[in-house]
Amino acid sequence: MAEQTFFVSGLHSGPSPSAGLGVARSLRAAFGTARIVGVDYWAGASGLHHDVLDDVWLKPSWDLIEDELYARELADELARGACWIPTLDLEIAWLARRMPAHPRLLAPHGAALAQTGKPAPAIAPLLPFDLPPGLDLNAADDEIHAFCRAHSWRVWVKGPYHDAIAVASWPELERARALLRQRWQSDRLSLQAHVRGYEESVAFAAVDGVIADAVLMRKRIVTPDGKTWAGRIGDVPAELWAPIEAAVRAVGWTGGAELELLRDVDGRRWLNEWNPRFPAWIHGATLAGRNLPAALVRRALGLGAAAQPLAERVEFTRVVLEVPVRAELPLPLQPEPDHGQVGASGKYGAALAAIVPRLAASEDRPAAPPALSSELAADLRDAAAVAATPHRALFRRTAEAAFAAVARRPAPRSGPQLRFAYSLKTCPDLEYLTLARKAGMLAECISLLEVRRALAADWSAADIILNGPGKWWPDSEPRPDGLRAVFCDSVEELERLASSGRRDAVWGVRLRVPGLRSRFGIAVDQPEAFDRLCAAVSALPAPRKLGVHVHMASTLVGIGHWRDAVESAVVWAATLEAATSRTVAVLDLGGGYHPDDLPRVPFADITEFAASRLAGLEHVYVEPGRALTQATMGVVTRVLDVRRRAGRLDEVVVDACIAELPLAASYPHRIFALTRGGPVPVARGPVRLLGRICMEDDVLSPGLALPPDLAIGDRLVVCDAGAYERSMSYAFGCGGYA
Amino acid sequence: MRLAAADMLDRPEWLRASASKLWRHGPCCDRARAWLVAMARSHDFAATDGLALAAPRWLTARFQWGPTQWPIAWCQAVVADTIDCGVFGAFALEIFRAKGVDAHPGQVLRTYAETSTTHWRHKWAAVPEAFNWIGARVVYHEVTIVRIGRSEARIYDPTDGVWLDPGIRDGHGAHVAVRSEAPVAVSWGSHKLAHGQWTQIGPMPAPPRSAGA
Repeated sequence: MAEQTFFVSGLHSGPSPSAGLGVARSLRAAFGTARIVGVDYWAGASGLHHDVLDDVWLKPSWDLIEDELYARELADELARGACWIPTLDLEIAWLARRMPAHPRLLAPHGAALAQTGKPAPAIAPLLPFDLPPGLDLNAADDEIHAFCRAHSWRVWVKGPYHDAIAVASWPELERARALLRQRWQSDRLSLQAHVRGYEESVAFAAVDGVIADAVLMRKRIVTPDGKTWAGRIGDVPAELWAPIEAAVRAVGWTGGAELELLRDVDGRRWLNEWNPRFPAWIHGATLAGRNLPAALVRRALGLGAAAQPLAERVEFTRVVLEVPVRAELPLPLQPEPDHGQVGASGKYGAALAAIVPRLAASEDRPAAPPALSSELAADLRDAAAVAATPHRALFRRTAEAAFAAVARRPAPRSGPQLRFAYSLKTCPDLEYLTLARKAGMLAECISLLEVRRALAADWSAADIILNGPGKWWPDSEPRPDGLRAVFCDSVEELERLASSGRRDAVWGVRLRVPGLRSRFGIAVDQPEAFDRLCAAVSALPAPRKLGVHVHMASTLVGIGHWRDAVESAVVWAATLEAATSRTVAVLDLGGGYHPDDLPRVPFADITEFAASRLAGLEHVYVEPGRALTQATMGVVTRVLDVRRRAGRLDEVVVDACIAELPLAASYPHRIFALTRGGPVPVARGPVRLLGRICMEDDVLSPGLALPPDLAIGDRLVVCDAGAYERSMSYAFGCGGYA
Repeated sequence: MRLAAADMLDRPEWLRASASKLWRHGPCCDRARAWLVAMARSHDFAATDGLALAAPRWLTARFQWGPTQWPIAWCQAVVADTIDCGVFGAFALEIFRAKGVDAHPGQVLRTYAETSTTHWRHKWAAVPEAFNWIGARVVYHEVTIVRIGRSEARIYDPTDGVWLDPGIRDGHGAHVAVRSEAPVAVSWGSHKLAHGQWTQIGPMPAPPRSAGA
């Protein structure tokens, strides 16, 4: 095959390499005298300098390339008999759009790409893999937040072609979204639930839907970015082969491809991504006896397939090698150093943001607006009557509905009694205390000032639970005796309580469950510390019942993780019980539930689980505060300034700020425009909503789709401004102190 | 059953060794066991991950591997910073069983070059009461056999925090023989592991001439 020419693109061989160099080395191994031309679009692509290449094409960066001319150049080379094997995702997308099908253009066509594209390939039902749960990032923010909670904040924000950033909180998600949006110049981002599993890949070569060869690779060593550094090659298991073959046939695939998989420890396989080109480790398969690039070419050129048994050695690893730079391709010069990171460039060079609009069709879709319930619509109509702004409005109907749902919650038919306690710290306004009393809730306090307020609101001492690290503050306050329960935050506090002579019904401990990051409670992750706790509990006077408290905000860690923390606390409680011969009578579950989650948190299941481990359990206390009040207030605000860029609405300043909304960046807030026709939901969009004060972080929303004709004096309502948005708000920039 | 390559072992007493067991003093040891199980539950994200077979990976992060002075009781083992594979195995077995996994003790023989074993021997020499697990080119190691279904098994190595690969049977760290204490014969990859018997699954390297039994 001395006369055969191969063009192989995508040559960067850095920490996140392209596959071109591996493809070229594999072709050289099979076709020793062929002419191999390496193609790249960045002078810094290191593989350009490898001696496996007979020639190189260094093309201009994609933002400078002439589409028509380049398409003609490619067509000419194909017409001269060359094969073209691309390994850059974006180039493959461009080829599918610009180049007609050609038997030596060894890349998938547009229809095949459409059926295998991210985030949820349409072809997935044909494959023997589960799909990790995912969500389009154009969904409404509250739906995105719900997805993250449902998956315990173990989620990835993914780019439209590649790139994924793990996020564990709303601020992290917002940062990742902004970064990827900037990098890819696209809103076509998605969320994917994390799957804890081993990384595997099926790589295959196919022509017109017929697989020429395929292998399974199991990663053994990965880079800090999760890229393959070493792996083990094997045959594709029989149970995977037939369905993959059927899927490839169904989409009529041509070219190399990689199915990125995750295999969890139970053995279930999940499809992470279908990449439309060979993986960068493909030469590792060649070293193991399975040369897929050669199989692709053989099939495409009708050369007949050479049987490829696995070699004796099926593991490969990478090494770092220095190679001389080609004289005709001197390295690109470094830009003048700036502060911060210097000169980091990926496989597309430094111009990715400029490239994407050229190579990928724009498929941006508008974001979904927040939902509007009938109760909230009525509350917002009332809020429209507010004249002076900024003003925090109580959504009375929404609040009454939230507290009434607690009152209606059915009691367990048998076993421990489930009681709800209102956390005063979340919103100590009298309206809420009255609603909580009416709903039959207990009061949960974290200071003696809160105890005083609860007593003033007609709770009796026997209905008050006292919690927190500074519960006896301030010294000047009386310490009412006979509380329902007191939970200590340290062994020292428990020992002091034991000798206090108080006569509360229940004394307990807050546990710091191992594996969860928390500053609160008694650590039990050292046997000695657990022994000390056991000794202190054993010394408690007999009349006092024993309780165990655990607190982990489900809105921050997600429902699954919260359940793990609670079940873990129950196991610790049972261990404490066994070690001390003291019966645990009360399990107290702290708050932090999201308003939408409270009805879904499986308290009945948890109570049943706890009762199965703690035979003497009498009560389970649940302490919602945020869940009941967060959605029950909104801040009505007025537009102070409207700023445009290139004629488009760009930034809007309002008279509310982070003093009224201190948690504006911590979780999503539904925003509505108050118009004569009623409240209008505002979706995400390009307009930043800025607060009134002179603080750099006074940004109320990073982006909204505000009406283009928005004017000074128009009003908006920032919802979900109850709970800590209320209780932690402060006076700032008002000419005085609250 | 006699291990086919038993003659090649420089410490044939390994073939008669049963898996390590921790002593129980009394209530202190009961509390230590309960503490271990509670710790495992705290690190076992059963609801978050929805996995049945998640292994106690935290053991590997918490305890350092090294010589243990035998015999050792539960209350001593949980407070140790350094434990050997026998203690790791006992811990993992307790944890797997506490969460309802059908787990059993297991032992393997592994191959290593003398470039490694000489250092281990030197380290273990400082603790005369430690188990003599180091041959010249083969070493003794304890693991956990986890049954899946009626007759299939997986093998977890709690010392290294990995599930063993039945396909690796030669070279550095390869397991060349396995003994399972599962009550019935189980298959592990393409291997059949009979109850209580050593099964050779890879070539046993010849001991150097100077090594004695």
